[in-house]
Amino acid sequence: MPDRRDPLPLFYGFRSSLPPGMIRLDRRRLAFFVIMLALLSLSSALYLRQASVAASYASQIRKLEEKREWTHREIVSLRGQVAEQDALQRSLDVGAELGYVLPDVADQTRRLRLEYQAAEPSSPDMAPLAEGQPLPGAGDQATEEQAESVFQRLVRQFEVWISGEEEPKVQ
Amino acid sequence: MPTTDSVTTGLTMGQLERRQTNTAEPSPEGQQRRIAWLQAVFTALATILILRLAWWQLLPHAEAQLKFEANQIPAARGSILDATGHYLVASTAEFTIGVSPNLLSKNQKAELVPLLATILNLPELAVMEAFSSTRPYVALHPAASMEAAQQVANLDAASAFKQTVRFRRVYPNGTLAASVLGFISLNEGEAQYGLEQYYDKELEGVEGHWYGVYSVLMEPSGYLPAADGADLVLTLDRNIQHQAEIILAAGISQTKATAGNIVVLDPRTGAILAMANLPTYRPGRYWEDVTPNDLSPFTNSSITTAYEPGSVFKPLTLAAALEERVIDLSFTYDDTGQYDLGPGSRPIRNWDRRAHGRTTLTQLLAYSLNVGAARVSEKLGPTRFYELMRRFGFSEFTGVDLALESPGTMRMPGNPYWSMADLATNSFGQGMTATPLQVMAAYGAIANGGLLMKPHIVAEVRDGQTVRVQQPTVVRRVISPQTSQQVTQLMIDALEVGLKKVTLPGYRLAGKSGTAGIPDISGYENKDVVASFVGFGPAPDPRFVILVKYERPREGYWGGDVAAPAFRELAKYLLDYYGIAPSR
Repeated sequence: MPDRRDPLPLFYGFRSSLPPGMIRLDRRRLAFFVIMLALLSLSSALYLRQASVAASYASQIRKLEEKREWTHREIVSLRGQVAEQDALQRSLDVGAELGYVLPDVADQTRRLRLEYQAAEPSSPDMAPLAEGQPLPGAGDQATEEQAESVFQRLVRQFEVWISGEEEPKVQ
Repeated sequence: MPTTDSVTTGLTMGQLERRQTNTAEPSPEGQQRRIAWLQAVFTALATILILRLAWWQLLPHAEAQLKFEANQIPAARGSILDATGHYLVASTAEFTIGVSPNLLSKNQKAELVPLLATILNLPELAVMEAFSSTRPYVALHPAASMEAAQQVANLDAASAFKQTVRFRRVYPNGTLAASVLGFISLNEGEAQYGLEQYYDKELEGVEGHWYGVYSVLMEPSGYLPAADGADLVLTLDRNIQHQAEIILAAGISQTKATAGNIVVLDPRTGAILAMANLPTYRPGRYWEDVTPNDLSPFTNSSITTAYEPGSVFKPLTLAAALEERVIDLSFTYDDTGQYDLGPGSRPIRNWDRRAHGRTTLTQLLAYSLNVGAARVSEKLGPTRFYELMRRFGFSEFTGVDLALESPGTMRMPGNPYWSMADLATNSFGQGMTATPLQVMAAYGAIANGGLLMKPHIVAEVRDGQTVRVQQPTVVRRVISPQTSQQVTQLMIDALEVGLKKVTLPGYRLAGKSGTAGIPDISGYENKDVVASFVGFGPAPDPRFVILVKYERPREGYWGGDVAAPAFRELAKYLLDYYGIAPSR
């Protein structure tokens, strides 16, 4: 059974009696101290590295924030410029330079007068349609039918192609 | 003599003393004392540190506050756009640029003088003077443009320059709708009058800041960008507004009136399409356009100034009587030219001092007969008359989203100063006051099938991704659709009979003129009047209500002569603007 009071194998060679008057150095404590110092140094280095990276990111973020602020100011400034360029009087002046004039309703000769009667709900215009009469917007429906027939025709062509039959010619 | 131990171990006395000295253990009391001292020192240091931190963190500190303020990021105030999406008010960025001359070398100064003079559009001498100053900071330009600020920021010696941004209001259309918009005071930066004041909270935004000032809860708050104010989109159309202001200015110039208003309202929604008030001012240079004794150009007189509307009130009296069925369309009365109010009171007379004999409702309106209106109100009685007028919105706020609205005044039964004479005079719009907008809203109810709509001028509040839409609000039903139709027809017919010059071929326009005395200490003895015209069209589906009002015209007198032409001109413009085809 090993003696627990024996020194660690690593420090075996250092076991020697000190000269009188000198402080005895405990090697175990020294080893512990050195290891702790190493660990502390390592963690400090890691911390410094981390802090450096963080500072670098912070600097980048700060620059981006400043850029954002500049962009914000630029947007506001541009909006102000748009507002000034968009002034009504400026539009009127530019229009006048280009030869445009404001519509004058008094000049009836320049107006296209459309005669129409607004459809009242009770008017004959709103009466039910007679049988066979085309519905309003029937043209749209015809287009849909046409589109459908084109699709059906494509399907038919595909079926013909698959079956190897000859496609009937459309007259 | 050696002791027993020394004999046993074989050590000399001197060796033993040395050994005792080397191996002497410190006394426990001494160790405890030293530890206690160290604890006390560290505790004291920690306490000082904590107190110092608390002092910086929790207590208000002038220096920290200053630093905090210096790092504030201003928020840009929201824009105000018209119904067509054009800017009426916007913000722009301006920069105060200063320099710390001691941060620049001689060579840098020599290089920068001509460059800065060009960038900032300053004389070289001014830049040289700033550079030669011994002060730590010298202002160079109080309001440099964005482009100039960017160029300065890109200089090699940019760190010697300090730029502070501030946002300034831009009013691209000058005086257009000035009294509706309001302004921001130059020094205090406070919102004054109009929409700027009413919607200040929405428009102002929230300031941001740069640096970490920790909250009491130790929440870090490093960079917080400013949140710009919300944009307002109005129902007001700048084209209609512009046209209304042109017509109003021409009318005032022609009639030599002291002031005037034109208001255009959509009766279907209560949306205000134009609100022109003269005299006016330039919001961007407001301090130059008024005198300290007369700030009236700042006020939106269409909502703040109550006046006696006069005969434009008569259709409302007829509407009340028709609604309460005390008269019908076949009603006639014998116009004797005078309506007696009893002993001690002066009788009411027609404007022309004439008796018109048997008179219909159309004639009553066409010839604007005070006696007829008084007769109708007498048949209606005070309770029903005032109840209807209250329902039309008189003597109460319309609730329009503009600052400084006035409710007007109307004495009613129960008021110790009210008498039957009030009922008679109120029936033709005298002895009571209302704002132009109240009159507009009441006419809007007639035009809108009897529904009173809440007037509003802001259609949308756009705050980032959030858009708050102002929906049309029905205040109440005032009269039935049938009554509305009847009164509209009466007004159309009255125009055909009495003011043919106002009508437009192909369109059915309804309206009524008014000429109301302006009372002073002597009563109505002076010749000052308010000449007005209120109308709407085109029937049967009116798209607009227009009020034209001139105060104290010197050329011309009657509302039909002074204000009606402006109504016609603007109605003509609106019919064309909206592309409304003639209906007959």
